[in-house]
Amino acid sequence: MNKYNYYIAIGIELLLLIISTPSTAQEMSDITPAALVKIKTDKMWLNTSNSAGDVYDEPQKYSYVEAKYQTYNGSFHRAQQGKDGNSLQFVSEGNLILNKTRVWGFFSYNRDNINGTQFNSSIIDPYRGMPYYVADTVVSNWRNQHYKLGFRVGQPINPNLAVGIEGWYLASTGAKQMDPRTLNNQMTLILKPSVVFKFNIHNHLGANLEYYSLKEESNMSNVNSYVNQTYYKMYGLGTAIVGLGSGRTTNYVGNDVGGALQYQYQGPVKILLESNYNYKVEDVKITFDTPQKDASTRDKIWKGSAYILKEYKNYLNAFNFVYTCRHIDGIQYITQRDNSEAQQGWLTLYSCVRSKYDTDDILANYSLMKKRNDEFLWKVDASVQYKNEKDKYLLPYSYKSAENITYSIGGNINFKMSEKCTKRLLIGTKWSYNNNLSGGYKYNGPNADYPVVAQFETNDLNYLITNYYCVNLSAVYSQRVKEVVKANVYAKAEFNYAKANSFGFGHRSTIDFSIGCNF
Amino acid sequence: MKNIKLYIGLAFTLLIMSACSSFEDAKDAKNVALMTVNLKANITLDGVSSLDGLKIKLDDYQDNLHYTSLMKGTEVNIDSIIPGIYSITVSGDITNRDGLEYYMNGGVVNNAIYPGKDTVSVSIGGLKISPLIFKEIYYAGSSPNYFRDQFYELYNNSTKTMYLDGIYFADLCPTTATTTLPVWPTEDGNNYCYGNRVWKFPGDGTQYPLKPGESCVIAQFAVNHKLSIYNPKSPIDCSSADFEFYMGNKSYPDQPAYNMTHVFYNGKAAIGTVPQYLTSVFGGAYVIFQVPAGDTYDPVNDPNMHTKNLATSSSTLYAKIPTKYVLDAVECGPNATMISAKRVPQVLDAGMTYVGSTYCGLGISRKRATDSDGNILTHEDGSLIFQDTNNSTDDFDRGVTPKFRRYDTKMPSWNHILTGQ
Repeated sequence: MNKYNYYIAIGIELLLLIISTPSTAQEMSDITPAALVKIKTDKMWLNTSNSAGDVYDEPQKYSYVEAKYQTYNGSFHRAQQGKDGNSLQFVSEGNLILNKTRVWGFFSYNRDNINGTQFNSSIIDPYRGMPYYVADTVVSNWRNQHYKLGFRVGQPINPNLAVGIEGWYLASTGAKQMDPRTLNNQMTLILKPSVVFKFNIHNHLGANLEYYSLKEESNMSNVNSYVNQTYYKMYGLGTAIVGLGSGRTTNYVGNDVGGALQYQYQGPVKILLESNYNYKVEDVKITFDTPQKDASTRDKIWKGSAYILKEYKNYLNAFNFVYTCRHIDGIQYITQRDNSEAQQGWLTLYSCVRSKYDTDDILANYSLMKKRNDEFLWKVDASVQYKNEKDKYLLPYSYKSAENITYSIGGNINFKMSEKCTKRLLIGTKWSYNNNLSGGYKYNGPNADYPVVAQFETNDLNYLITNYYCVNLSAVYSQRVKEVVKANVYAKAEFNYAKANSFGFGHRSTIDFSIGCNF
Repeated sequence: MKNIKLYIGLAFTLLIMSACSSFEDAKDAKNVALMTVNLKANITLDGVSSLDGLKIKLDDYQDNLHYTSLMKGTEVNIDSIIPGIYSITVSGDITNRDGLEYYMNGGVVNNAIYPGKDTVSVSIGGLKISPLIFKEIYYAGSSPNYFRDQFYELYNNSTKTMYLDGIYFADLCPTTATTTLPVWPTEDGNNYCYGNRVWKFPGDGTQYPLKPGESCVIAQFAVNHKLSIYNPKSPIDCSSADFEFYMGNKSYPDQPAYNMTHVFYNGKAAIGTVPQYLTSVFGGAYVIFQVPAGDTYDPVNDPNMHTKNLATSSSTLYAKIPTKYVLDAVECGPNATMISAKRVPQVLDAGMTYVGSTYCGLGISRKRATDSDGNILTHEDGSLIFQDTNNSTDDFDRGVTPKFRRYDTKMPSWNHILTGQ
């Protein structure tokens, strides 16, 4: 992202924060960290892709800015995630009500130092559902930066109809530090126009469309031009074509269209049902001057969710159920360079689906809060997540699968340290256990001795089918800036420890420190 | 303001059009399926009517998929093929109507096979057996980035003495394997290959005899490269090379090995200003050729014997080398997958060989011919016979530590070591 975009992003966000300070929304007491959690739990439509529905959410205003530093290490990680690393993040989010218009804004900046990664030399996020990239065996660091700028606007047209639009601009840069190295730029633009029709005080029906455009450029090179590097052009499940030299230039261009339907019931119980469908095609082209269409993905995601809130005088119950089904077809092309005098570049002769990637993800989460004014006194959460990944390469047939179920239970207690300056200490803990149900990897393609098969995919499967437990501890101290100023400043420390039980994996520790301000 | 709206509208229209095109292409893709390939053989050798028993090879080098089958008659169906880009060869021994035995060979390279394009026609003829062949080539250089130790070893694979005098050596265009091939004049057909730089063995016609079983080495720079002033990591001592490509570079002075005679570079006989004769460390394509008695070959002064690459605006001239002159050709590339970027006509070399890396100190070495029981074949005089099926993928061992006169092939008597000159 160039400086110009960066300044625009900062400017818009600051503007939003500034104008949001004189609130026209429901006056609340202090927005402590616990209060912010409760507000977000209450805002049912904010969790959907329909911004018109924000009009029907609780009119609670919040804003925050936060700076976070994260560091992690430990051997329990996927090869492309790095042995250790750290991240610096700045994030701000806020909403406001201008007359009847609901406006919400978000900005974040991340700078990630990922150390000791392997088997990725061409893509910023190797886990985004793109099986076509370049891998190498050199252990290297990545330096990534991510910018996110988002907004939602919901506007009532009449008492029974509201329209809205949500937009995101995401930009990332990434650089691998060792030969064969790469410099990547990625950009995603997302637009979601929406509408909600209010039948009566209880029933709302919403719909939205979604379009997004994604582009990622990967420019590989060698700084030491005397040493040519071996690299692997990946085609899924370890199928690869070996290359020698400085790599290649890859251009990823994706377009996504989708839509969603929502139904909300507001009564003694609040229910919000949503069904999303997205269809994305992303092309992988090699070089810019004479592009060769190398591969494409045909990516279909269906997501169904139910969000239920039941509020009592002293308690708030929240139940969330999400089912996500993703199916990716990996398409490969037979191309030939036209070396006649006509010089038509690369001719695409034939295309067919060579690989398939299926993921079923089911998440059920229940939260119970004991309310205390606008915040909570304590909160307990329990969740269970089932995930089934089934990948296959059609010819020669290979497969990779992993079926896991993860149980989590956690809780938070919001200690009132002092009413003076609204001093709070929010202590939280969470315990998770991942139980692998099944999984395997069988590679029947050529070049089974390549390290991308023998090391990378084999170890990745081991990671995916490992049983592990995870413990999380967090503590947030907050208080008003001054007794007469409502803004709450806070400092947070969080520790996460995951320990694997099999395949010789060790642990993974993550420590976060944050400071921020809610207002 | 009007303009801004127009531009925004135009941008969105283009975005939507490009998205629609992507969706349309992706929508049509079906699951890959095995297919049957129909191979039709056209016999170009008189007296042969059947190709029964010849071996058929289908090689998709990029995907490393390989299939074999046997010819029956002149047309055969081969089942269970995965779509891809294939090099197809048909080869083997056959006896004609007169009882004469021939090694038959034919094929096509980089032929796309996919549903709707499942028929392949191949011309198959008797193979010309070359008396002079490349036996060992070391082009990759040595660690960390030393390239002056390149060499090429030639071997007399026949039963008669060959005279090297006047035999040509050239490296072909493009210098490294690439899918962006040059465009040559249409009228040339498949009758030429195109040299970057052409050299010739010196001699008056009988000065440099190479007897059966003898081999001759041409070094880029004929010194002991293992010396500390050069590169102790080099695997080779080139000081016993018979010839060298001396370019007049005073930093790397002329050595006792005989100098190859420079013939052609970019349309001129002059050697130019390049300090050494370096061929690609990724692997080049090399030919040795002999002009038949009565023919003249002058790529510098005969405008019909040089040409430009018509794909570019570059004025660089390349020497035209008639394929009928070629004694042996070997094509080398970075790795197996680059066989899809072949630059040498199939008739000269149906394959490509490689060492898989650069500056690795490894080379390629021709295999010894064996009978069906695996016994090493020799001529009656005991000299080794090396495998020459015009397919360097099959004919060479890859990734070997380079060595002069491997298998104890003999040094010619006129080598400067033996003559003491």
